Amino acid sequence: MATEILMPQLGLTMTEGLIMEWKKREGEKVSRGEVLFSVENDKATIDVSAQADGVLARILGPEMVTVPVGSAVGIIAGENEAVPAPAAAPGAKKPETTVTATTEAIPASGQLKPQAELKPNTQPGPQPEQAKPALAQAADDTGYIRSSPYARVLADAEGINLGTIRGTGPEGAIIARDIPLDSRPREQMQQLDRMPPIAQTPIVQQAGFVDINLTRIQSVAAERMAQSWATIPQFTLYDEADAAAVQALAERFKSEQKPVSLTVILAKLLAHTAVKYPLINAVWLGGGKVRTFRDVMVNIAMDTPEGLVVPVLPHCVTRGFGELGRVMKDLSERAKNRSLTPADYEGGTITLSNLGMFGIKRFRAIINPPQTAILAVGAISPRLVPSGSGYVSRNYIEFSLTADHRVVDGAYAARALAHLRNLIENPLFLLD
Amino acid sequence: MRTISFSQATLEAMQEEMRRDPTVFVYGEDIVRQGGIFGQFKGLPEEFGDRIRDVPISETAIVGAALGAALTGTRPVADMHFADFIGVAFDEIANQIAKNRYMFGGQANIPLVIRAPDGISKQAAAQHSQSVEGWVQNIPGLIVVAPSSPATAKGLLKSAIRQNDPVIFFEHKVLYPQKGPVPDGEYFTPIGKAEIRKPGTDVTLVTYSIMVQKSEEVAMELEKEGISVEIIDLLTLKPFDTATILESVKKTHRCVVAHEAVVSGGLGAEIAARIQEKAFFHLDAPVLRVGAKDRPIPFSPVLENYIAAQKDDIRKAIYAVLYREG
Repeated sequence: MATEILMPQLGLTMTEGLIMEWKKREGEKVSRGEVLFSVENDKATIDVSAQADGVLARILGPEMVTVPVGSAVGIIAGENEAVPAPAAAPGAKKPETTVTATTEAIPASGQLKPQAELKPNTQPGPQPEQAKPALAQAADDTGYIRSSPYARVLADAEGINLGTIRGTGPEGAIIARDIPLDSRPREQMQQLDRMPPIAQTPIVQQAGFVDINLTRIQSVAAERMAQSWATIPQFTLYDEADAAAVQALAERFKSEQKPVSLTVILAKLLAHTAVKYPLINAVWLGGGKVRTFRDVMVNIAMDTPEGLVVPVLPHCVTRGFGELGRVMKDLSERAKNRSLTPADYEGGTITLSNLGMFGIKRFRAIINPPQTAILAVGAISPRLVPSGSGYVSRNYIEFSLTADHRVVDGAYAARALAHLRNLIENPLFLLD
Repeated sequence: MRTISFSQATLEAMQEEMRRDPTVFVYGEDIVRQGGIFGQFKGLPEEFGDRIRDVPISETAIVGAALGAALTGTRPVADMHFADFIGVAFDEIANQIAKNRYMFGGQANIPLVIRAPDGISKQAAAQHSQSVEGWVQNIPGLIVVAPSSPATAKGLLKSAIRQNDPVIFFEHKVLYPQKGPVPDGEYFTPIGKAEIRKPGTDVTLVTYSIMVQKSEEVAMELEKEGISVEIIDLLTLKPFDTATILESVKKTHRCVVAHEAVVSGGLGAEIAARIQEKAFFHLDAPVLRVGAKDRPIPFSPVLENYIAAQKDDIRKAIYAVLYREG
């Protein structure tokens, strides 16, 4: 019995996925649980496994094509089972054509005769008119898709594969009105037009250049950062604290071979601060509404070979340092070998970014929308502080809190930061 | 604001400029005795005497003499009687007035205006009905303008007379008796700047001269069908206002260009070319041109209507770029 392979929804916000790679070829045997293809959504790259045994009869979603959630990307059929072709556009010939699923074991002799005598309505698989994605009638015999330049731009901005669109223009051409849109792209296009062209400098005079395509994750991050910078009135307060206590704590865990890094310690201290100052542990809902959270889930900015990822260190208040350290170690290992799942990104309420390991003394971070605050932590460095009639050398850590002024005002942020400073200098106050 | 006719508006422009500047004068055929065949010079001979001069029927002589006068520092206005006759003075226009500043290293200004009544009117047939802006579009060094209303006629003519480079002023014969609001006091319509006659969101309609009012009528009718047309009145045909056109097309993604002149080699061709060069990825439909069929304008009123671009042609083109049945 033929089974459609559907684009899974991998995460609450996922509406479409980019098919990165098919691990199986058409005609290859697959068994339930075997990886069929990998898909990239706006957060991660995930392997999708077969839900049924059989033969991968048909690949409907080619590699590097974005497909909406719930759309068929392939068909798994029983061996030698006939599979109806995907729906052809009205006017296209022979909608009743069938293909036969074969295994590679079957020799290419005369055995592969088309089983056209099978009537479509007796097929166990999807009926032709239900099969998705519909072949666009805009495509001609060579596969060229007729479409207006603007329709292409819109489809590209929306991440829509033109092959999945039915054109309503002349001779089935895809025109702008055929592209399903939210209100975004038009505005984006207009914004782009208002922006000064980036490539004004004559590129012929440059020695050479490399165009880089961002991954989908990077593109989404880029959009969110731009959205944050453009729409959130954010301000930053800078502070510093004597780092001796947190350093001692980190050393102590190290000596006990527990993976509790300074970042983990600071995440927990930040979480306890956020409980006391809930407006920095919140998301902006718009329309004068803010949602504060009882639990604190800290997004941790992590550097990976593929760039920045920001998974969530969950439940930072109720969990102890040791447990948080273990979770953190697991997250960072999986970040490095690219096996974070969408669930690892869900539910963050505040973000922490630590560039101390690079020797950066202080910086301001950009709020991770729709959150209302982000803590930026710099390096620990020695400095002379007055002591009696002279000076002593102490290690100090600098940090900054960037907050959304629609939600948090300066005094509130200052009180929160002072609380955090106090916790850094006296972690035992966690017991207070 | 007053309501005066188009020819009255051009007359006011002439009076104001001639009163202000004694070097402004006019060469033309039958303009002293007749006041111009469309009355556009009436009253000027009485006020300005021999600064309004009838000359023999030789456009070559008119433009050639005007060029010489302009080089000596005066501001001649040369009247072509009918734009169709501009070809008689084509060497003066293409090789002399347009190139003198360039060839002599910018040593002299050529503040010369050529007034050229054009367009289809009263079955004047093939030699008296043409819109010939396409002929001069191809000549670097010229400025070409075409007002669409009394207000723009006055403002553009004053700007043209003050301009230090040669300007060809196309004035549509049908517009002369038409009345419209004209601002009180002195004002200028800037050269090189188009005006948006009607803002809209669905399609950009680029037009000028007589076709502006036809476009406005079509747009009003289409508005009832829910089609929002943005009308751009070019006013200056060379160099035309590319920026305003592109800005509009980037908003509407569709464009129709309408003029009375023949389609082939017309201004619409240049506008369409520029749009696809500069805004290709904003286009949802090909840029369509509306203009006269590639034939001489016939004497027969039935055939004249058939050859000339009509309101219905504009409407059909708008439906077409919107992919609508109509």
